[in-house]
Amino acid sequence: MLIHFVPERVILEESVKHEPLTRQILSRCKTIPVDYISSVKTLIHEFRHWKESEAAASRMLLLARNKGRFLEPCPGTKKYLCCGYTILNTGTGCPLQCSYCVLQAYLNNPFITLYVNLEDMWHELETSPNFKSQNIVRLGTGEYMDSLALEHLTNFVPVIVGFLKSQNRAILELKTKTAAIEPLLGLNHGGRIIVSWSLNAEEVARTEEQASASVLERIKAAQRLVQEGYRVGFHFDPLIYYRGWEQGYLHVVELIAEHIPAASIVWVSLGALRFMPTLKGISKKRFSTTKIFAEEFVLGLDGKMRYFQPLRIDLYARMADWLRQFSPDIFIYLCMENPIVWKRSLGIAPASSAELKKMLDERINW
Amino acid sequence: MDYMLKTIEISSICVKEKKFLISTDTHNNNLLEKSIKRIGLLNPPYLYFDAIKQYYSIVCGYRRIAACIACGWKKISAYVIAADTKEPEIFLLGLYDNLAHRILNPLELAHATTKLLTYFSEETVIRDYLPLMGLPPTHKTLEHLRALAGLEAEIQNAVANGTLAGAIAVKLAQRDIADQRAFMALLAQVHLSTGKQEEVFSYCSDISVRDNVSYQEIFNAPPIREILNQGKLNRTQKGDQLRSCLRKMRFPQLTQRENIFAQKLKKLRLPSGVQLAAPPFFEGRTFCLRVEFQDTQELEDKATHVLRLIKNNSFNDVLEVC
Repeated sequence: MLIHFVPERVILEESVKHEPLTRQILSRCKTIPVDYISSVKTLIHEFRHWKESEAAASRMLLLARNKGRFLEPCPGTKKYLCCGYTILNTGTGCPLQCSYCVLQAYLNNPFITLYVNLEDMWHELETSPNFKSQNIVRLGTGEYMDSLALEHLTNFVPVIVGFLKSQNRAILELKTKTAAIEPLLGLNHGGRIIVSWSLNAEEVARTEEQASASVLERIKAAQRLVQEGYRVGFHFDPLIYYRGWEQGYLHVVELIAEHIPAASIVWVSLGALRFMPTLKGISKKRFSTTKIFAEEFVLGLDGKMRYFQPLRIDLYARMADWLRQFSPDIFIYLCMENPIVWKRSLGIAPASSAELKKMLDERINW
Repeated sequence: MDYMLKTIEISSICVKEKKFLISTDTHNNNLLEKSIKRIGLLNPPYLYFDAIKQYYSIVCGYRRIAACIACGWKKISAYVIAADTKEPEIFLLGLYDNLAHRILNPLELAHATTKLLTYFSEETVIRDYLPLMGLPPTHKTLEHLRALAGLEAEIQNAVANGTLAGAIAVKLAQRDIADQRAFMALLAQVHLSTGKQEEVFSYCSDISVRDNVSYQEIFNAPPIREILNQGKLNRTQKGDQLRSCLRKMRFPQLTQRENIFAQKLKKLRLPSGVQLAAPPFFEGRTFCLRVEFQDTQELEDKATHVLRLIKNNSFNDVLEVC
């Protein structure tokens, strides 16, 4: 398990060397060699010629300028129902090295990257029309990275909490597979932070999520934060089919039931493994022993590989059944699924992505 | 580099010395022999005299020299490279000569690369010579070429003679020797185009990983044995049946659903020229009905027939598969 990510090298884009966050991160990486580059684009282009693999690149920390937007809608497709989460794009890449990680195929930048031009981020947040309306904004930093894996370097959460508190109806969901909750302890979060753990069966966590905290450590971290007054969420995403999956996932639900009061769980999402077709080859090269891509996948309507639909329905229906046995009122939703799968596994189906967004927004009790 | 045109005794050329050989196509020399017999040797080969071994090595022109020998020639005109020329330079002469007049096959590229690596650093080969051979200048490409060059001779020959696709050979190189041999033994019994080889290889590797079995164990499965042992089928038919059987093993639930759909569709008895297709992989609910017609009367007849099936609920049973 990775306790705290310590990069082997820091790569610094010249134009951000005077940014306050750069100075802070460098002060926390004093013994680590720093390379300066003039352009991230050139670095990524040149990486193709490096002998180091993507795995090695993911042990390097790139401090760069975000030249694009910090806020963006979740890249869901119209073919499946999306929860309408807004991504706060503070960086890309993850040191946890999960075999199924979609980022391996999705990003062309293999480095763990932090965007340090926070002035631009604050400006975008303050001027964004998202926060001007009465709509609830569910922000998340866990789309392109683990929300807490680099917190010991960035100290980002206490700063963003200040912003969230100044907004009417905004919350931040931190999604993680770590147990690195120290920065959240004692923080006056005002209910603006929801901490979610991505969970998996213990067998899957051991083999496919090798640098993540164990499942029990994640649940115990959640328990600790519940004691601190946080609401928590759980994402069984990706749910992975394997022989004996029923016992594996049931055990995790039992662990949740044992450690977490149902009333503190704001939501549980279920999402079966899905991936861009290119991921299979990329992952097999890095994780030669992985077996997860050899199950019955078909091409989905969004161009991603998905388990054959009846298999997904079975996974979701049984998970929902176990979760509802633990708490009949627990709020369960499916991530990127079609209404038929919703109906057949959960017994309900939002009419649209907008309705699903509304369902989640309603879970935020102010 | 200096070289001089000389007349050389063929007996002083060591044709077994393959140090500079790039081509894998050393057989089928008939056309070249006919040409040499008719109009002589147009382009003299390049030779290098090995002062220690006291014979000439062929730098380029292996096939031409073999053809001259077959024609019964005793002497040949050849360019002899200066004795002080360094070996990497000599190899490059052969490489440039080959690249200038033909496209190298995957195996030739692999052999050329491994030879380049004996003379130059990895970085130099990637940066300078992979692009020269029309390949991407990446470590990944270099690894693929190395894997290909490391395959057993039988598999290399299969690539060279086109029985095995180069892309599959690269993947096959990642498997253990037993799986490589089992796959080659299978290919000897069936005919599969490159695309179908890809498909079969992909099924085999996924089944092998999923069920923790070797390729041989997969091929020993009774349905596959039955196909391979069928005397009435030719190699192409065996290949098609094998592919279908492996697909069933790889996607048991999907193929079962396809069969159910096909049975229900048959029961529906759609008029000829009307086809109903399920959503691809039964994902989503969008079916596709295709009607072929030549005039409005035919369209009306077929539409009426289909509407009748809809009204008497016959369609529902088919649509339920999704």
